[in-house]
Amino acid sequence: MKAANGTGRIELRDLTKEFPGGTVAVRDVTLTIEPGELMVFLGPSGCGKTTTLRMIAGLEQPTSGEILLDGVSIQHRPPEQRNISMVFQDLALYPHMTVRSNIAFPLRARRRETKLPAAEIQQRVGDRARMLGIGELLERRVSQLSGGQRQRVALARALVREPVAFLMDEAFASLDAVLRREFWTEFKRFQRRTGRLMIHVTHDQEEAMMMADRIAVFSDGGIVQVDTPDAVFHRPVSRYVAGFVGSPPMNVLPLTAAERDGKLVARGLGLELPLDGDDGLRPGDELALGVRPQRVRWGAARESDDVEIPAEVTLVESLGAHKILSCRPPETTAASELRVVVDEDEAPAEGTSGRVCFRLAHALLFAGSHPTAPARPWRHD
Amino acid sequence: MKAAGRDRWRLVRWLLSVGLVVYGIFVIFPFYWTINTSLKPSAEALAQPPTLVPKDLTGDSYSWLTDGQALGALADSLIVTVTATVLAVLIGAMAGYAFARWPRETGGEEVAFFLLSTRIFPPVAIVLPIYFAFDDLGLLDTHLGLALLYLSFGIPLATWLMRSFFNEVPRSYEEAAYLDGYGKLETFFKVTLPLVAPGIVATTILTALFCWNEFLFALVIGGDNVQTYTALIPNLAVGFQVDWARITALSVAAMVPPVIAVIWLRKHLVRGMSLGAAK
Repeated sequence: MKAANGTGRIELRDLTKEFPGGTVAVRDVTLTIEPGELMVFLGPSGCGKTTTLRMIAGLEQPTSGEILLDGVSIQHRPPEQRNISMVFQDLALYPHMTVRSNIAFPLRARRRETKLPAAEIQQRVGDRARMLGIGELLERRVSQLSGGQRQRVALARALVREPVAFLMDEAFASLDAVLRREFWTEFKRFQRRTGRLMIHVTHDQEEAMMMADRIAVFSDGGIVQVDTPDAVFHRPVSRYVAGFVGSPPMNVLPLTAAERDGKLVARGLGLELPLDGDDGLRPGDELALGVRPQRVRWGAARESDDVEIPAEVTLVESLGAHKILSCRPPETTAASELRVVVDEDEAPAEGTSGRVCFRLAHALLFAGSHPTAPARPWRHD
Repeated sequence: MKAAGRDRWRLVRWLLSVGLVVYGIFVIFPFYWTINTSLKPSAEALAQPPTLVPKDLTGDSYSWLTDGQALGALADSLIVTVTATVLAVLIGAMAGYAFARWPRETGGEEVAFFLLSTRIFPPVAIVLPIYFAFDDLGLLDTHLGLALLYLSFGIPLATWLMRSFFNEVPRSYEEAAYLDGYGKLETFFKVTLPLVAPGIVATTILTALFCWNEFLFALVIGGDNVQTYTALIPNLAVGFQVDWARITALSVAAMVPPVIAVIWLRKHLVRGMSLGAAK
């Protein structure tokens, strides 16, 4: 029962799903997921990530496009013939069965064909249960388990049959924050050990960053960026991605393009910043500067900083070892506040006036004020 | 202050208890009176003032039950009820599943609700047209005719009930089974059906009770050949004498099957409240 029919590479080609009534949930999604890769579909609800996952599983039929598993087109196969397993958001554990029967359930499918002996089934169920630390719970009913234990049972059931690919739809959503973090780490290790291709769907950017080998960021039924977590974090392709990934969210300063001595500059908040490169911007166009709160400093500018903005601290929020300052430049509204992450012993009191500084090398340029505005590093290197 | 509150609470509890006792008497008295009357000789059953306990305890009415007429009526009721119930629950379960899982294809909420219209319609309004139709079809005074009629009431009820039970089974349960390698039919029998078992029990009992107790159509569609116990009872009240002893004895006998069924299936009925909590 090893994934004998290949190594497990999934390719999506121009996948589109239109629901009756005309709603297009997924539009022209093209993506290749490599064997053994942990891919995370990230996006807000209604962005098409779950529909894409369900099409891979065979629970939805694509309107057009192709799904290839190891080069073979599978979109016309029913789900039971894809050898793909999935953990659902509600886990879908059967309340009328014991934990043991739940985990054994996939192995009992088509037994006339597989000819799997009962002893072998019990052996595998026991192995998986021990691997996930639920060996003692096998005779319990699902209703007697805690949230974390249920999660483990669901994972054991999905993995007992060694599928080609493994899908999870917001499977950690019902866990509390502490447990969820434990699962991220544990699961990533677990996935590495099994070496299976895995796709995980989530709207939690932190979860995506922690778990993924690569993240596919969804928006409005399409993928806007596919990259490693670091790349998505540091080099987002658009203002939308930049705003979605990272906590606290990226600071976005609205500026306007202007001309000075025949060169394009960005003006606003009392700043005038050089713009190099050609982004199709003309004097008068709106643009924005993005900089992560972790890259902004509170205090006097150092030599390396090229931007310095006077500001007043309006709010101090605690993250324990760090604090988040909300800093408002003079004569602006709350909308143009910058957030700054500082060490707790360097945090000023609320109401303090001072300066925020950062380096343009850490800044992004958004060529426009709309969410799809393309992003690039402020400085070409 | 505290003591006064406790006193008031005690009073409320006392009043509630009295209320419950009164309600209990209200519910139990008809049973007592039926059994009481059934154990009297026919003459004493008519005596004024009535006796609270039979003076001459007799099983005459019960021995009458074993003569052909009463036993035949109970048998007719049983035949028609079992036939209609089994078919109604079977068809209703399948239809309910279709309504629950393919709401768009089955016409949506409106069509599902339309099912209930047969229950809203007053039976008296349709009994005559049905009489003539059944007459033309040669279905009067047959088991088949009455069973068909009960089926036409039972299927919508069973469909409606089963639909709501199926709606409570998350779709992901079935989808998970598909992904685990089970086909549609196998999934239905291994996953869906066990989860709605308490619902099937409840639906069966409700449908069977309706059929068992139905009076109007049984009287009009039935005849000498097929006469349910509900249709026999008014026959015992013709002429000068209403034979209360026999009527009540037949009523007691008619209570037995439902009571046994409910006691036997009590466990499943209770389980229906916590759907699927136990195997």
